[in-house]
Amino acid sequence: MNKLYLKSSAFAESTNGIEELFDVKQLSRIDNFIKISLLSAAKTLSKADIKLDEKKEDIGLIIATGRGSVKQTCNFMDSIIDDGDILASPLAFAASMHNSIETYISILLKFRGPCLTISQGGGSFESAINTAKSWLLSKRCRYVLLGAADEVHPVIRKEYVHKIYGKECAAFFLLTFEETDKEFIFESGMKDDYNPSMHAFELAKRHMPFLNKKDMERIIPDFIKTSLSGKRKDVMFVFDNLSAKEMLKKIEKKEKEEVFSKLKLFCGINNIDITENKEIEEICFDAFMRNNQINFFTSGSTDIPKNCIHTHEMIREETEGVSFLFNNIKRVVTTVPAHHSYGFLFGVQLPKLLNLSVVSKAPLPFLEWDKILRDGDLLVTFPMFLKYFIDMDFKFPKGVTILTSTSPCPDNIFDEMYKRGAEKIIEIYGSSETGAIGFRESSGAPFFLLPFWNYIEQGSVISEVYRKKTDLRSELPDIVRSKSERVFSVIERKDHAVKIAGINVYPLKIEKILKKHNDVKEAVVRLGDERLKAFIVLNDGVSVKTAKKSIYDYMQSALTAHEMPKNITFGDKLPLTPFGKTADW
Amino acid sequence: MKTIISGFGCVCSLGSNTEEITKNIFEGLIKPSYIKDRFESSYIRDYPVFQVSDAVLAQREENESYSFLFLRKALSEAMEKAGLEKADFKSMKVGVCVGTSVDASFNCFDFYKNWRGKAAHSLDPLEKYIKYSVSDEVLNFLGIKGLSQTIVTACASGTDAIGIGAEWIENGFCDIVIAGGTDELNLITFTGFIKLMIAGKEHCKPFDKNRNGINLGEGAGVFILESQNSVKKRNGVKFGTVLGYGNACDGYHATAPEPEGRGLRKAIDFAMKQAGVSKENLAFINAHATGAVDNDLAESKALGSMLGGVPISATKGYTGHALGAAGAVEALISLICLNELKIPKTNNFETVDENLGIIPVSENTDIEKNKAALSDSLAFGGCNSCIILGGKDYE
Repeated sequence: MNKLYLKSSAFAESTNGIEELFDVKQLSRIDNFIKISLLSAAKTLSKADIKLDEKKEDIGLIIATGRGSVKQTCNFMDSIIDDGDILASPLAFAASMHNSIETYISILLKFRGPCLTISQGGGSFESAINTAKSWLLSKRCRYVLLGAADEVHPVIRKEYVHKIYGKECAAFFLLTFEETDKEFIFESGMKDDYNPSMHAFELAKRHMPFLNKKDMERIIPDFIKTSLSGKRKDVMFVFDNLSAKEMLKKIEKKEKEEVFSKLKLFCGINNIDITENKEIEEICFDAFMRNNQINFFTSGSTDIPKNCIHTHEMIREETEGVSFLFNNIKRVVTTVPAHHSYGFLFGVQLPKLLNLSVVSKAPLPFLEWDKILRDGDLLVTFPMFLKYFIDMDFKFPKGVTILTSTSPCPDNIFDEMYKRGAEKIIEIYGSSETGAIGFRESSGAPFFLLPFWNYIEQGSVISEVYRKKTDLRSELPDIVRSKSERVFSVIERKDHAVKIAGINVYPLKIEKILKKHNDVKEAVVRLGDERLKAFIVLNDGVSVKTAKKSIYDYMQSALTAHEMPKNITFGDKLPLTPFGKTADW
Repeated sequence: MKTIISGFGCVCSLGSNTEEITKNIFEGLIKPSYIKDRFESSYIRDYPVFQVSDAVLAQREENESYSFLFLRKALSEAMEKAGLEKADFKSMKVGVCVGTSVDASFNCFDFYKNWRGKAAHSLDPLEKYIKYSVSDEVLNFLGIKGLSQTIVTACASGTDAIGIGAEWIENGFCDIVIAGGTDELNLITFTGFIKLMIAGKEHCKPFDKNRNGINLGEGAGVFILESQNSVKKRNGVKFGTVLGYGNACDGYHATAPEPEGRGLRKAIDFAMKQAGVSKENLAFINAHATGAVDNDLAESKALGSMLGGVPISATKGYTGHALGAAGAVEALISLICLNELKIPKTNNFETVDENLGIIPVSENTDIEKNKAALSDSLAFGGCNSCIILGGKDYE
């Protein structure tokens, strides 16, 4: 028998972005879950380059809905109970028809071919696949747009709360016998009557591409900017809004070689020489799609910089696992580079999952932030940039949620942001190795472990976390104490040993010792060229000349020979990455 | 397409089996009546309906919906005609394809009222609703596994179910398919159609100039559809053939049909091509003809322009509009007519509407042998479907 192939697929669990595709007037009086279905159907057609406003004579439409428009059925019964049958609502009755999704899709997306709605609880989608195949075999149509959509039944949700994990969602698949690169494979026998459309929804999510070419137009320039930022001042300002190609024209050969060598590691490019190739985004995109993974580098602020490979599956688990925090968000404004683990999750993957538009801005305080931000925005940023808002005496417009991560958010910043009108502040705790682990929404509060993690406790200390679905397991970068089930506090950073001439030494311990000197304001210690190196910021008014000997003598008395930093750099402020983490120097 | 109809059964206001239905439809005496003892409504004495007999209603088993009772009875009759026992299905690739409206809906009104009012209530009706599908229930009734599909294209469900079931056989998915539709009178649909001002207060008048709304009905129609090989293998009987099936949407309006019958034309065109018949090969059309003003107009535009001159029979004046069952009941009546070589007068049709451009038969009318019949359905949401049937002698 002929094989079914997938031309395209898409899913939706909110109506975000629907106004861009349909006239608001067309959408009035249409229920939310029908709008979600419309959006998902429209996205599926668009991905297959089928114009939405074109008549679709040759595309069949099959909707599988476990329960249909149950909320409207309840509304109609409510109107009979509350007002009596004489005043019962005709609108609710008309909207309660099982085939209402099919109706609105056929009207607004101009379907003219065969159409059908199937409704038999958890078995609806699997059953519908048979008829889709049958239609194609009989040449009723060239393609079948097969959709699954359901509301969460209000009565079932209340009575069977522990069995309901489903949500209002829709998933659509454009099926054909014409061979594409994806065979449509459906695992049969996965019927779940309590969550009828969730299996199809999960299937559509599995087909969501890891990245698209448009994403690369943000990721690669951000990668280049960040790579250069350690060496060039104002790189964000100078290179902002430039494409990768334009940026590469402006930098020297040596810098270019360094960028390319890091980029190859980031994308997992092995055998292609990218130095001579101008279509850099294309090459990186192909590598990502082939490898189905991304390599995040740690900043090295807590340890030696290292690579952290995250597979598509891991990133999907994480994106879905954090999405519950962002129910009322309408748009994402991100100041975090798109290649960074945090920026990639919240500035690239989350908007894609929730169908949110993204505005990417460099973390520059002089931009007109009062004009950029608007009601319903999620501002993805980091503590150092939030400090600028305090310095600028900034007042947030109504309805802005702030998401902060990359380094601990001090209590005063939390409090100040609320004072300045932020709707909500969410701090994410995590690392490049693990991705997001926990979150909190107020200063001084403990963190809640995100739902896709399990953890191992030793005494009251959480020693290890591991993912529920994917194979990711990691020690935590900090000492983390469990407060109650799935609630924890971060006590302090772990001090990881580095080997100097075969002896273990602890950079954090040395940092702490250095900071005890009267003239030292800030100090960072790292492994340099086989020996430790230190970066020191002196207290205001203290000159390097006067402090240098005193600090050296102090180190001689307090540190062992292996602990002594070989190189000491003095500066006005610590070297920071563009988003506030300690950078190398 | 040449899918064999090897069994058929029906329950509706015309009778509790096809023999009663055959007798009553050509006598033409049936009228709608007012609902009694089924549910409470302020409208019961205002809006007549076509009901299944009390004798059938009394046969409902505990926890069984009326819809499933009708379906079970129609299926039992069909199996008897086909010479099939439950055990015979076990060795076959079986499919069940059923259209319905009420039997797939959350219509537990009493439960919902108690639940909402926080009165004492058992969760049994809810539990049953969660796990229930009428097509799966047929498989359970037969004690077998197989392809199962419950179709909910509103008033076109029954026609779609037969067409899809026939196509499953044509495409080799099944040896045998139980296909049809079932629906029951219910407070929700009864009130809903009244509130939408589609229901009429008098006996419906399909295609009549003075038509003024539908009478709801109820019942079930079942075909046993079989491949030619399967019928031959078990020495089954051919009562007729499904020759073609067409389905197309209007893409026009949520509750009103496209005025020119755009989707219906496309559905008819596909079905006739699939069946390999032209209008000269059609003995008659069993029209959807609900007696609703706009619906009858749109349907007549399509039928008149594509199939002008073919006798038209409209049978909702005998059965009412049985929603998800309508297409199946009418397909059953069409098969009866093909094999009886006559079509019934259009009950309660009195005055020609010149705007329609078609006139349904007003007397019982003989039809030609060896010709096919077309039965069509139009539904809310702009779903249109039709099937083309041959009788027992159609080659």
